[in-house]
Amino acid sequence: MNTSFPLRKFISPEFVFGVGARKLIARYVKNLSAQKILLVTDPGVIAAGWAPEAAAALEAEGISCATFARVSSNPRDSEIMDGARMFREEQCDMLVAVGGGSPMDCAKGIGIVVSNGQHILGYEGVDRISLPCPPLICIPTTAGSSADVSQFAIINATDERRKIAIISKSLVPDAALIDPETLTTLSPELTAHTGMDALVHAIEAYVSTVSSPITDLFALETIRLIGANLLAAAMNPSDIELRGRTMLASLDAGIAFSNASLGAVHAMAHSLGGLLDLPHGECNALLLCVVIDYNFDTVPERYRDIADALGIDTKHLSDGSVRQKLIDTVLKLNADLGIPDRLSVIGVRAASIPLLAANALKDPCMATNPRIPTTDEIESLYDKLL
Amino acid sequence: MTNSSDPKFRDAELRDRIAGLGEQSIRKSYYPELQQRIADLERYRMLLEQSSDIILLLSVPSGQILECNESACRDLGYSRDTLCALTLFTLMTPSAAEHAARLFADAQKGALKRETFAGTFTTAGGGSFPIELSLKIVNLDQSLFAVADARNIEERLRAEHDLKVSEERYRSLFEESRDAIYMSLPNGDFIDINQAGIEMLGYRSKDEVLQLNMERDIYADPTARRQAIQRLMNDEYLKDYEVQLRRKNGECLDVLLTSSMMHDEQGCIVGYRGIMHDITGRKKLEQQLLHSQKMEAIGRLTAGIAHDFNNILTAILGYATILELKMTGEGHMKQYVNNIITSSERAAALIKRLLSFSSRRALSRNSLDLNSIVKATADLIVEVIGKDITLEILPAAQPLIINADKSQVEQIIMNLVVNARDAMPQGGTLRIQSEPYLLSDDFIRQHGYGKPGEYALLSVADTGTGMDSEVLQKLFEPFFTTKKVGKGTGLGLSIVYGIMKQHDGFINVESAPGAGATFRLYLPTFKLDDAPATRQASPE
Repeated sequence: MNTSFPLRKFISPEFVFGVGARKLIARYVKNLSAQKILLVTDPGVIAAGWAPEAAAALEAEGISCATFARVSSNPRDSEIMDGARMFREEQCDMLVAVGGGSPMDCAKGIGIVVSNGQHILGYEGVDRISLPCPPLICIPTTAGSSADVSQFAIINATDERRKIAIISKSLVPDAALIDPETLTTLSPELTAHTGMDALVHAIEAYVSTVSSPITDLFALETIRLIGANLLAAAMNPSDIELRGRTMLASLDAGIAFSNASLGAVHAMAHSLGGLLDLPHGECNALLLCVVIDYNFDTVPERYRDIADALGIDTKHLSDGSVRQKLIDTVLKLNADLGIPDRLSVIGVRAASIPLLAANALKDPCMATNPRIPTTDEIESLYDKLL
Repeated sequence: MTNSSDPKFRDAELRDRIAGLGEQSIRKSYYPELQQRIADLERYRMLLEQSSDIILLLSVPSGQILECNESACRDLGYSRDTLCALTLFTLMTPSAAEHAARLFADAQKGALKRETFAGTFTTAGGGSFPIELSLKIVNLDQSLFAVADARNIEERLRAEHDLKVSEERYRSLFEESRDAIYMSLPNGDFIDINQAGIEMLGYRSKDEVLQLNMERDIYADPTARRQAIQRLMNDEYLKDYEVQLRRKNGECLDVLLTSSMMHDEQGCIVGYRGIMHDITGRKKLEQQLLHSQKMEAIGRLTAGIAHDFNNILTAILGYATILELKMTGEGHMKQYVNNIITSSERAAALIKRLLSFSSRRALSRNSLDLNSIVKATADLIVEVIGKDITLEILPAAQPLIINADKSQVEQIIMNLVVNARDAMPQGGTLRIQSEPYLLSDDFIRQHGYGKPGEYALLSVADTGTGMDSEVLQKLFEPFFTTKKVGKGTGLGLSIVYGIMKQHDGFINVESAPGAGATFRLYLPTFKLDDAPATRQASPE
């Protein structure tokens, strides 16, 4: 095999990026010949007005809309089954998701169940979706999850208290209408969490064992944009310019990780989120430093590029110094954004660590981490952060 | 997902799949499948639209028509839109609508059934046609529907009716025929037989006959059936083929058989069809006719000769008497003349008897009681039969009034008694009985002669040697005798026959070698005003 150019594929949905992109929703729905929409959103997005705005735009064009908003911050399997039932009862023929990662992943799950018929947990893993899902258009209202462009859906299996990952090309939405204006209602806390999520997406995609020159472009661009703009954006919520950059960063990160996949940070964060129902972005931000530390020696040149993208001058630094400077930069960014540096602060107990590690090792994101971890290693990584 | 300690977790295959290079890692398209499904739908639509049955999709329990096919519109005379605004119930007669409504109500309680029943559909134009309706309840996405498949059965009903009428027509032809009609298996077992056949063979029921085998139980001579079949094989059919059958009571039956073979699809013989016409009565009648004609011819001949002879005898006797008168004294000559006269007189007496056979003699008839004639002759009979023969005289309890010539009746009795005596050289019993008799159609059918009415039956029965059938055939012919030459004239029974005929009576004989003989004489009776009206006709 040619090691310089192993086979790589690149997939991306049609997307419209820019101020006012969300207003194209009715046009897109009509072009897909849909007659009845299931609008998947959550109470926060309804309160912010984005979901009612989309519904009104659709109704104005004579397209009726049923709204499903019973979505938690980590979407649950039961919510997906409820949504699928509503889709059938309301005789919908298309899905529109308005919101962050949770409503968008929930909409993907509903699509799977509607056309494939079984319980959502039966589709865990890679390429398990045999029938195409109903059309899905996403209007993201956070800058981080990138579910609007990714082939991932992360669902909380509440009975098992773990998150399952469903990865399939069928989950790439038909179109994403990415409008920075939707971020203006985002709280500083969520801005911080989702922004750090985007950064972790980019870093993990860049060091992934299935990264490619194309995904590298998007990954490094994300890191530059986040490094330069996230803190400012969190501090100036209404600055549309800054919001636009973080939104762009999220889009780039989504394109990168959707094709290059992720690594240990996400595997461990999914485990945490499943067991303790913790905010996904916050977990990622917290875990990032220990995983950089763990992975660094396996792919030091990749981390050097990342450090460069974050504005660290690595030209005359040893690998060890680069590692330290990189970790310090991330820690400082977390601190500036108000993200805690200890898992114990957010409620994680030592007793949970063996189960957390076991679940993390089962997560498909772990498959593309540059270094192969053992259970003990994962446990010690969690342990370091207690 | 497998555990990380398992090296497979890290294998290239999984990474490839994550990188979008697995076999299934391709974006799906609806298009080919949609195209396929649309093609399927078109084919199904063709199936529905081209069906000649009326097919409706109904909402349950309202019976609202949701979809219909082309046949429904055409046969019911509605446009598709109009039909889809109606319910199934409005198209049906009340009873059938009730049936469907009940099925729908059951379906709501969870009984998803299929039912087929007959009903009637009313068309837009007010006409109607009979249908066979199949209703199948289906549950689709938690909603109940019914698929109705209605078939116009007008043609079928008409055909069934025609077939029934035709069947009844042929059945009545079969059952009401006066001739026996039957079907049998090649081995002779009956398959079917009509009422006339059952009666002809003397059985009570069809079931009884169907237990029988023609060859074993019906043919008088079993080999005759095989001959008949052989003939049938040769000629393809049998027409008016005469066979003799046996009735249940053992009586023989002469029939004309017309028969043909029944074949299966391979051409093998699976049985025979036959029509049997009873000719027993006709045969008897023919024989009787033949006999009467013969007796008539003999009678005419006898009468003609007797008349001429009488004239000649008159001349002989006349001249012989003149000759006797002209002769004087005694002598041989006179003796000769006397012999001529005596012989002539004997010849005249013989001729007299011949004339009584040929019924040419004038009768002097009076109303007589047969009983008293029988009683009156008793003394004479005792003298004639001698001591070795026992005489039993059994006169009827009531008078039997006949209109007859007394001397003739006495002669009948005496002639029969003489024959009886001669038949019992070793002695025996002679029984003379008189009784009333009601002659019925059965008698006529059985014997081939007779006239219905009330009769006096006189029987003369002996226990003598009896006669075979050959003798019985010629019994009443003149000059037929079984006695030694010189012992009998052969005129006795022919005279009896002639007298009976002259009295509008009948005579028959029952005899077999060694079994004696019984002569039965039937003379018409008539009521005198003073005769008891309660005289009963006793059955045979």
